[in-house]
Amino acid sequence: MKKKLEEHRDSELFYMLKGDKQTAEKAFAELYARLSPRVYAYCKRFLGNREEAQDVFQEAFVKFFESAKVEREMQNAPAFIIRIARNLCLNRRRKETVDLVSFEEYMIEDYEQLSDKEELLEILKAAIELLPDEYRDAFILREYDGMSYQEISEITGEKVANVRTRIHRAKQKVRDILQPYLREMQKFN
Amino acid sequence: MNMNKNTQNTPSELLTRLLDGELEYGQEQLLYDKLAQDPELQAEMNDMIAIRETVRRDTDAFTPPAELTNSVFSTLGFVAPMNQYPAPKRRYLLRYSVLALLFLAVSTFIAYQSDFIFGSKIPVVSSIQTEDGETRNTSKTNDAVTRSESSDLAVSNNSVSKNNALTTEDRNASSSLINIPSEQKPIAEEAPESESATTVQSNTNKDLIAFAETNQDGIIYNQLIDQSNSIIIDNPIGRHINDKQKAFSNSFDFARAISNIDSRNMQNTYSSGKREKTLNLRGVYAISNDENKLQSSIIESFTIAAFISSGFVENLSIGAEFGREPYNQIFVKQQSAGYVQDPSIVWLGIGAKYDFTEVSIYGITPFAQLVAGGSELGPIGRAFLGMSKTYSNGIGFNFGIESSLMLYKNQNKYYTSDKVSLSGGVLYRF
Repeated sequence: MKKKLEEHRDSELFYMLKGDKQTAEKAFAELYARLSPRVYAYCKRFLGNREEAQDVFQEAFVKFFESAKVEREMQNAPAFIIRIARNLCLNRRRKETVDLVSFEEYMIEDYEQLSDKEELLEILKAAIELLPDEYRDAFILREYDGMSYQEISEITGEKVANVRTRIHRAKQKVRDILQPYLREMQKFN
Repeated sequence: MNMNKNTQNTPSELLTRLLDGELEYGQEQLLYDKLAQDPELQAEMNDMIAIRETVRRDTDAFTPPAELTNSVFSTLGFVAPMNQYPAPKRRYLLRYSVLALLFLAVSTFIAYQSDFIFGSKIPVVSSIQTEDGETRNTSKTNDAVTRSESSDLAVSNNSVSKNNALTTEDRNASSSLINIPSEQKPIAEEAPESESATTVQSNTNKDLIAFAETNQDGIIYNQLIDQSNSIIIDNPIGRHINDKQKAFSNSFDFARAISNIDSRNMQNTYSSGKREKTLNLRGVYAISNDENKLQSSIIESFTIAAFISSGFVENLSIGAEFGREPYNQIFVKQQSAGYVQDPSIVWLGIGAKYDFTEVSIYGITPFAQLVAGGSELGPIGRAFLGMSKTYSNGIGFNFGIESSLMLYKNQNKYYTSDKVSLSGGVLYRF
């Protein structure tokens, strides 16, 4: 019995991208459904800017599709496209001049209208953007994309030990920023 | 296990690895023992869990906007993915079943309750005496010579029941007898002499009562008498025995002016005026936005609407409208790893329609229609401006421009979706 599209593995769908247009379209749509949330989350949280994130997101998927014509095998499609997106994000960051501001200056929005949880989320987003690139990179790949240390090591080209350290330090920095708000919420809960 | 701070095995680092599922088996028990004794480590673990839960709530980061998805696919020469996730067949079946049931319920209600509420338009005539002396029931079926074995129109000899307009007693009886009081006899006597009994149906209309009799020549006189016993209409309708058509047409004309003698409903529509019902079925095609491009077929992008209304006051009718149509919206339904756009929604509302009959040209009448209601996603409002024409048989058509606005919520944010459409269809007045 013919397999349904959603029953195919990522590697099989990647191989189908080389087929005729109809097959490639269906395979791409299924891969897009599986991978787009993680890729979008990485681009959005790494770059912080919505328009830039969307540009990189689109470019990443176009490169992903075009690579199917060249690549013979694909063992880990999520890691592959995340790597593409990561490289594009890093290139985009290198072109920018970043003005460093303090956390207090960064937090200029009025959160009075938000609930405690919504406010905490906004602060988390701000904290992630304040992380150095290598820490932010590791934090997003771990917490948003659910990558293992080994996968992060393959994507970033860093040793696993370094990945561990970066993730730990990134989380500690985020925790340091969020801690006062977490204590406040615990008081009222 | 060494928990030296100079290695990567500090309690805090181990805790991070534990929460990431990367802690080696041999290190777990040591960490658990440490957690049991160190309140600061416990607090750190609670904070890390709270941060992870906050990340889970960051759904905005995981949802590519619809336009971005469209852009990706169109760049590659593909069709947008929302077209590849059609609504399950059972959902369509449920929608159409609900619409069909609703339509049946509303139309049934109108059909069976209209007589009671709005009054019947069925004209009737009284029973008449034929030349051979047989009394026949000429009511209800508009047939002037209908024989009824079990007629509810009893024959009476110039008698008026207590529930008719000429008496001061209760007028709501279902009795079909009218006894003409003695003071009415001069009226009857003014008519040609009648040898036969005459029966009319009483009605609860407080003003009018129908009276008909046949003289010896077989000529039927119909009279409409008001409370002051004045004759409003005195109309000879001629011989009827073998001239069914003539009798029917004459009696029909007369019957339009008399009350309904249905034994169940005794209301008189003569003085109350007509309450017209209209059913309008139309299609709506959006011209203002591009959701049509997102649909995989014409059926998906086409709107069907049905408006059922009843006359309220002059030129104004009130009714209900329902239909289904696509609205441009962000992803609302979760499927596999992301969200997909719903191709169409079902909506229902209450509306009012005003016909500008005073500016009608060649029978084509401008109208304005407003509908307020709800849809599967949220409240909806519609405004329709157009022209309509109805022919004498009750069938007609309308066309115009429609604007609609829908309010809906997604991921704790409110959105509006509006559209301008061309609309046209058929209508039936009854």
